[in-house]
Amino acid sequence: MSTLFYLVIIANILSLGFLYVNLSRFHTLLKKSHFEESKYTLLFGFVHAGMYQFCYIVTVLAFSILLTLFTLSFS
Amino acid sequence: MLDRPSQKDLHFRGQSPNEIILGFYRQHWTTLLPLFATFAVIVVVFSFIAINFSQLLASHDSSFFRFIAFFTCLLLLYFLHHSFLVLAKHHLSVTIVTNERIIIVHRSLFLINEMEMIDLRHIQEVKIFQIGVMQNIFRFGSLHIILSTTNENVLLEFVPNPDFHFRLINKAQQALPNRTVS
Repeated sequence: MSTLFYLVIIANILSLGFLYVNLSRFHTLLKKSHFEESKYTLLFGFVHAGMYQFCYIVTVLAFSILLTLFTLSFS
Repeated sequence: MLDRPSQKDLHFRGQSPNEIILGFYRQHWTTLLPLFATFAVIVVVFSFIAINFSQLLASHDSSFFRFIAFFTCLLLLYFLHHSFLVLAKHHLSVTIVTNERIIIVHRSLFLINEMEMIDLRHIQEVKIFQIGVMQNIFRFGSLHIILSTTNENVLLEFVPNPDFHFRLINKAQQALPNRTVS
């Protein structure tokens, strides 16, 4: 395995750790307020907090996998 | 008179028992345009690199190109996390209009926690500003709140549907008990 591969693995671990910290913090802050959302308050009228989190998790995970595969292909 | 259930801390911390939320808003989505524009640029650049990079690596058997690839990927990772932080800040920062006050909350996940409160009794005048093509087409603008107590004025920017919020503040002011005309 090349040095690049190990660097990518470390970057992925840090990234996933940051993902977890961000999401748990976001959850904590969301719990402190309960508003009745409507199409007038949501981003573009439909994007709610769950969607942010889902997209965030999916993109970071997908990117981590792609990055690892990309690096392996050159190792 | 009907007994209303206590509203204390029902919707946000610090809500008083008789305080009712009339409305709230987040800043207009145009505040996120720089993020979307950066995203579009990154997608184009990364696609270009991804398409051409394998040929570059094949032609240059050098670790230099691999490290360029690595730092490009690191930048993309940074951008992904940064995007979420910006979106979370947008979601958590709200302006709440209640029957007693206006509460402006600026909050991000880690760095910002600001809260400003304007008593409706201290509002002398509210002005709407919708200037320019963008603001009139996408229906957002600024509310300029002039206070009677201090010389400081409050400017609420990127308010979606400012007419509605202007009327909301006006109605809330008119419904105040012991209202004094300033």
